[in-house]
Amino acid sequence: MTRLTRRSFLALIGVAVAGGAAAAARLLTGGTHEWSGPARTVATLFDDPEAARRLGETWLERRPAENDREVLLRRLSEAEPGLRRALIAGDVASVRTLAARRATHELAAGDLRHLEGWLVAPTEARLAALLAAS
Amino acid sequence: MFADGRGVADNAVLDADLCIVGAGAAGIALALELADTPLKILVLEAGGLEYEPETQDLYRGENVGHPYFKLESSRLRMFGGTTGHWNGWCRPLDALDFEERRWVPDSGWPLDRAELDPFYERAQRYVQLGPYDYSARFWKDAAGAMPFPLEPHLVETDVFQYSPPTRFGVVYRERMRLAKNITVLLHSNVTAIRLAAGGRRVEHLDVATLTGRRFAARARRVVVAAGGIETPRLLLASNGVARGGVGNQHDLVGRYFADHPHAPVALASLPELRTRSSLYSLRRHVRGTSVRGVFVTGERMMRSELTLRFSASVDRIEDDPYVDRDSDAEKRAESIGRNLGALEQGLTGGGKRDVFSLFMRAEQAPNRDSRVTLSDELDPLGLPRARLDWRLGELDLASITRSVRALARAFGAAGIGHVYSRPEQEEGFWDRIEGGFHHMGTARMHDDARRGVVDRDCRVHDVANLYLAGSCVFPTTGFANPTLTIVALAARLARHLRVEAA
Repeated sequence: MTRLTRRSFLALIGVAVAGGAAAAARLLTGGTHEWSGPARTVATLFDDPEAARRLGETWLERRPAENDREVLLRRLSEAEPGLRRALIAGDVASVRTLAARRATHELAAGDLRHLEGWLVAPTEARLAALLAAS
Repeated sequence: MFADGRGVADNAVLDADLCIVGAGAAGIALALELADTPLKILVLEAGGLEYEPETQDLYRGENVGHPYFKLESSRLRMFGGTTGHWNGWCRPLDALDFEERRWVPDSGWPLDRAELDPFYERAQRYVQLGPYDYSARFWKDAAGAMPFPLEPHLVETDVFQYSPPTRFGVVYRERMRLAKNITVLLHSNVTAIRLAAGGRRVEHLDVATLTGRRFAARARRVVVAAGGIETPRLLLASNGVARGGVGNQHDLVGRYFADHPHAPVALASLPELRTRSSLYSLRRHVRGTSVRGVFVTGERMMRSELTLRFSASVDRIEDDPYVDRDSDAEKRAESIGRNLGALEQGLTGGGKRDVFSLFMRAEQAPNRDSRVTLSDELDPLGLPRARLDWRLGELDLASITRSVRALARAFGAAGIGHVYSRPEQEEGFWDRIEGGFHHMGTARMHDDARRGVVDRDCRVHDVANLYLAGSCVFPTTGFANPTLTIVALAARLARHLRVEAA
């Protein structure tokens, strides 16, 4: 069951948490980065999308074959069929539910991947990679 | 009463009903359990009441295996023994630790936890602990701090209690002095266990002082309680009648040396507030008892992944002296951890994450090649010094790696965080594993004389009046620090000796 904090709920409905339009803009652009399409949906998930982007970048450094949004979407969809549709549709709530469920399942089952020593679920890493993929 | 071996006449023979060699946790607890009984007890303590460098130097020895502490640093040769510098971590062994596990060769005790429970309760008092309950449920209720809701088949929360720590040499000095049937003879080093012809009984003990006195102690029963390195050293060196040493007819004395592998084993990105304010935080005081929750791998996971016992405590990373936070690798690991925390929070909520250090205390599998032998060098009393060859085996290393993965799975499944695995990421991790000054297993307990040095009553097989007390008899060690079990076994041995004497 996905837990929704007040903070992430505010993020979800597009209200600035830290106050003002600047923070709202940062929510979608990650400061220096601008996202569109599924990546924009992913960025909306996080209070700090830039942190998630850096993780995605680390993931892709070791997996250049995945440095392609289509490839990532396909992999995510293979793991959790509804995820691609929700990402494209900008359905943030569904993305959060589906991704959290899938990642939790992968971690519990021991499907662990290395991110420079950190053990992560492939789904969460690929979600972050969407923010960094070219 | 206290006396000093330096005042005993040369070639004197001291008689007693029971002679205890060593006044550490085991020796003192054993003597006190028998205080004010008809037994005349002589405690031979090599050291004095305080630390003395010349005496301590008799503990110097060689390390030839996995890097280990200097042998003269990891134990204390004085009244009170190594409790003079212990940290007080206490926890009984769990039921599983007493079982034979098919994937852990030579595992298991000839007795079970239930048999030790009443003695653990007595031991609690000796080391000044709280209620005899180590469940997270009990302490969570008392502390009002919820542990993380982890999948118990992967990882559970268990609890350590902290002794003040009890310095046996200070806390029990007066009781030992006042006990009418106990004489503590200080500065009295036992240099040999002399067996009667045939090797079935101890005839007497050779005793020497650093001032040159030599005398003997004779007793109906002898208990060697000299620690996990010194006890096998003395047994091996006592090879006058029994070739190869006392109790060593099956080449077991000194083998199976084990310590608990200690190391900062992982980083974890965890909810900041819940971690800092919960049972996991360092030495939380609950109703007068100092306790701490640790993560322990679950039994089902251990059985399926074939791992050993494993625990990890949570430290603020800034408080972990083992972590070099200035190194680029560490900075990068922390940075990724913080980003993962943000990711986790975005996906599952649960509050802001921070990066913590996980410090392991693990079980070492019984390993016949990990051993204490005698050095070629003699100490000033003419006794060969100890040589330690500590070895970690493949099962130990594989188990640590798998256990860290179990933490990652459990934290992930609960949606609370991620784990950075040092064993998998950092070259040289294995060389950084240290022991915990826990010297165990070197005279293991087994009902079969071919597989153990002592029987279930801690009596040396085939030597009718010789017993061993202390962690040297542990055939399997769990992950818990040994002192509580040492004291519990001493209390149990006292009952046996009382019954036998009656």
